Amino acid sequence: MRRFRYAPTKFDAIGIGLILAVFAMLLLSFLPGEYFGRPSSTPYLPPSSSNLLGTNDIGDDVLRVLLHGSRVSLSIGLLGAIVSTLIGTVVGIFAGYMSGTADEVLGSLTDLFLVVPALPLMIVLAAYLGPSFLNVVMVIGLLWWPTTARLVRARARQIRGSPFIEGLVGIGAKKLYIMFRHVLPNVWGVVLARFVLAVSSSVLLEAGLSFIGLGDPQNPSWGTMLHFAMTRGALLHGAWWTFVPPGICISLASLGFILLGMALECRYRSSTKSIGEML
Amino acid sequence: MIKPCSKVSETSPQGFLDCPTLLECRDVKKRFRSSVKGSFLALDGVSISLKKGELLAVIGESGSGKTTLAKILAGLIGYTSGEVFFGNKPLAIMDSKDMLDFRMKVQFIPQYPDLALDPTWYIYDSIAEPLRIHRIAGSREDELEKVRSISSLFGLGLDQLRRKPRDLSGGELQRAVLVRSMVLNPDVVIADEPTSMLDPSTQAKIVRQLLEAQKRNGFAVLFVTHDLRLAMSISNRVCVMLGGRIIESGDTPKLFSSPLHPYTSSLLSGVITGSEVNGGAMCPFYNQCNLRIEACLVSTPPELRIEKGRSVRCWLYGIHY
Repeated sequence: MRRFRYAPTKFDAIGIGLILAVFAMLLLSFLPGEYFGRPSSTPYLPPSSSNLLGTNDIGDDVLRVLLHGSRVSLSIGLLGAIVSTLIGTVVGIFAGYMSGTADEVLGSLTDLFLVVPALPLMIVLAAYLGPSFLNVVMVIGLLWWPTTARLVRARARQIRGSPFIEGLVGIGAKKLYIMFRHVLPNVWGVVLARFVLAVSSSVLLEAGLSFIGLGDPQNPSWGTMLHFAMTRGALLHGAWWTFVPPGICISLASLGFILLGMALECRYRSSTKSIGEML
Repeated sequence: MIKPCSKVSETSPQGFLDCPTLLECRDVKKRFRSSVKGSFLALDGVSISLKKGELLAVIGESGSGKTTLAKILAGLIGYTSGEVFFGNKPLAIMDSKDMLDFRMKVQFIPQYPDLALDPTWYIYDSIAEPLRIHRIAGSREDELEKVRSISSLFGLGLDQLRRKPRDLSGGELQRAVLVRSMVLNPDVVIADEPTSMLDPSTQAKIVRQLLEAQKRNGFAVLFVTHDLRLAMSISNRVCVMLGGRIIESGDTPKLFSSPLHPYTSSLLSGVITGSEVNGGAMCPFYNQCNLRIEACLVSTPPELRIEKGRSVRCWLYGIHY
């Protein structure tokens, strides 16, 4: 019998540390305005003691915008991951446990979504639905589930073949009951790892969508900050403080989730093929 | 050994044969299809009936179709042709209410105890699960009381109930599986080599507990095994399987003292030379049989009834038919 004991590696530690740092930013963003530097009438002020990260194109304090951006980036990341993991898990469990037509239909659907190039479709969808917080979440959720469904299906299929499922049929358990009370707890490791990896993917996707101007302008995220730095001449001014901090934040946040996801994945490695496949 | 049902006197030589039939299959065939090996006839016209309160042993070598038969009777896998009856109702056309009743009354004990329980569930929950599915225990307290009392009969304490399957030994796990099949108070228990994965002393303990439970509750047992000595010591009746057919059946003492089929005699004397089984219509034992005649090459005879409760499928006894 396999036994999982928690033994943190340095990757776990870095991952958890980065995630904690991002959540600390989230908490700091709820501080009242006077803790940050005052907005100035001059755009692109370099970092100073009154504006720790300088000011941006409209003279707003970059640190304040950066901390506020963490709210949007993280909440879209988490919500998008929740939606995509939910869809992927349900589809995967049904496809894996039911054989025959249900499996084929769901399998083909998964394949269909898997071969659709996600980013271009997302751009089209986001442009068509209009930039809003919920639309970005839905777009990410609807397009990021097939890989999860694939992995959960493979694991569920493995579980389905094990004798205890036969025993459950023998004592009169119904299909739905078996799927959600017995198959789900056994695929939980895969689901959790996929969820954490999906957070990282959605943070990156959100940044991408916002960067090309499809994010919600009323709730600026890190991607939106990059967008404005690009379009309003921060590069020409040499105002590096407007685009380097959000870039670092995006990279570190997604790196943190990827490291944690990979560590979780390693722990349940026996159930999947390789970590490289998951990214 | 347990006594026959009240309708029959203890001295009756037929024993359980006049007791009502609980579970029965008639001329069941099962064909497995696989893309690699093509199709394979695992059961070729098997008829068997399990009477109230008896312990029927099914013996045979690996690959003779014992497990397939057990699973078909437990309603776990389908069959290609033939009929299975529970009470008087055919399994194939049961409605969901009758099916639920069947699932409650007929319990299956699998071969590998370490794979028989959900690894993520506590033993207590796994044992209480049948009660929850069939909504038998009213409250949590009833359920706890019931699970505890039955578990203690099988020597499982609260300490073991609080654990997960990976933390129990093979013997404890098999006992947990046994308890789980007993909580619903079944009429029929189908045990598929329940002790083959255990060491001899644990094996003896588990079998003794099963027999004690049978004495208490009076359920019928279909005991699938390849252990001849075990079958001899615990069963009332025996069926011998070879190549997907039941080639001989009868009362345990008689069958072991005077086997009719040449295969049975060589199985009992332990002189089977090869395990090659002949397919098709011919007798599965044809190649190794010393007493074969031409008819054996053409077909296996139907069940020839030698006397009440004793039948054999061998042309040597065709004259008695």
